[in-house]
Amino acid sequence: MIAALTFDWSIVRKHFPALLDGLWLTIQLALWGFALAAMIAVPVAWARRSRAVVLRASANAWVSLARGVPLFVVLYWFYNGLALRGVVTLPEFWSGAWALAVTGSGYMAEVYRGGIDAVDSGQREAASAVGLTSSQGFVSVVLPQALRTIVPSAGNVLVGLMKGASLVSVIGLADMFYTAKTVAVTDFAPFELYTVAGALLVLVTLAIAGVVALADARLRRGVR
Amino acid sequence: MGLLTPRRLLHLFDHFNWSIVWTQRGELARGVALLSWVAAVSMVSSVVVGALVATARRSHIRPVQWMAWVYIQFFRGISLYVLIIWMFFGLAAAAQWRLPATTAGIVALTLLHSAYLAEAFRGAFEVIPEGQHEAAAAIGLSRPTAWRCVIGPQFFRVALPAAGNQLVDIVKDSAILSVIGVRELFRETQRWSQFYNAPFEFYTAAGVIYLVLVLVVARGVRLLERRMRWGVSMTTL
Repeated sequence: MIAALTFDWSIVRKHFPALLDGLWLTIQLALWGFALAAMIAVPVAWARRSRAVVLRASANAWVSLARGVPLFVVLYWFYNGLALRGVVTLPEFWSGAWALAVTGSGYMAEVYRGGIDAVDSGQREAASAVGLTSSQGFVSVVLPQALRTIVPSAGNVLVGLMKGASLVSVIGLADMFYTAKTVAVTDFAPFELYTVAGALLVLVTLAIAGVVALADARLRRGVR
Repeated sequence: MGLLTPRRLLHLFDHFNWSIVWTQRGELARGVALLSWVAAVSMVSSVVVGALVATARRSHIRPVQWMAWVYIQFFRGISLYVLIIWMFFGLAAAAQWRLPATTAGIVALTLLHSAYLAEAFRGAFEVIPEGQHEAAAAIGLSRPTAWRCVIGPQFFRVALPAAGNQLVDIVKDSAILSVIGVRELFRETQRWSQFYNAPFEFYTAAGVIYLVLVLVVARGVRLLERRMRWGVSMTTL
């Protein structure tokens, strides 16, 4: 129990810059993954609402696949599986970003669909009744209302990807936990750095969640 | 970054060695068995702890309420990977208290998912109008009976879909236990993919197995949802 009482701050101080570099890498990864996921999810969500059975079925299959396979497996599949097959050799960073993008795209497609479904069908009918074409109606009537649901849910997906991004040290990316792992071996101090790294990650995810809650409150203000 | 030329794409499909995966089916099956056990135990304990935390969150005693709030915020904020590493290596070094890897993994899964489940339970409870409690009391139902016939069915109808997603995530998240050496499906996949130098085959196979497991759990949750809805119409008769 002695070691728990003597939390060695000097080790934290020594490696804090490295931890911050690692945190920045995690944030970049999560943002890239999220941006790619948000883009991939647009055609997927569109196809899920399509009338063509083949389109709908393949979009549904993609969502099940993206949400059903653990991020860990996707990550290794991109980094080891594809690379050793000699097909596409992705650098570590992009293996991580694409793995996050694939997983995130399944969740984002659901977010888009949920947002659009939440808009009352009467709104679409009203838009066509006042003479808007279906695409005009979608852009100026349905979408602004759908965004009220989409923004907070998308924020939750971003938080999820942020936490998922903390896995990437397993493919050798030098994030906070890579630093913590290295120091755990060299200085035999696994407790301090993992604790600080974990706390930093919690702070960042809570900050994102806070921003999302604010955005949610702002978007809701217009409704009443 | 290598470019995806047609020639390379073709290379993806030659000399696959799926038979290697098949020769290790025993080891993979053992991995699936351990995964199922870990996931099942974690599901039960997460639901129990989640219900307790949700109850604490609705407590009239302020400090209890706050503690539940902190619990939920903290464990929803942290990532499972960090929690597992911290519990297994960090606590062991700091407190000389080494949990067996599987136990550490189950505890970490439970802490994390119970926080999410507590929020799902609380949300489901809040959509039940106060009038339902009052009406149940007004017609003279005891509290357990009110729960069974009035509150419970409405609660589960809302709580189950959200809770179901969480149960599915427990199956997926159990893959992270491999980082502390638990020999569940993913650890076995890593081991044999390295041994045979066939990561594409093994990781693809693992992906398919996880997908099937996840779909089975999701299906189970949906059946349960349907049963619950059936229960509602029966009690209203």
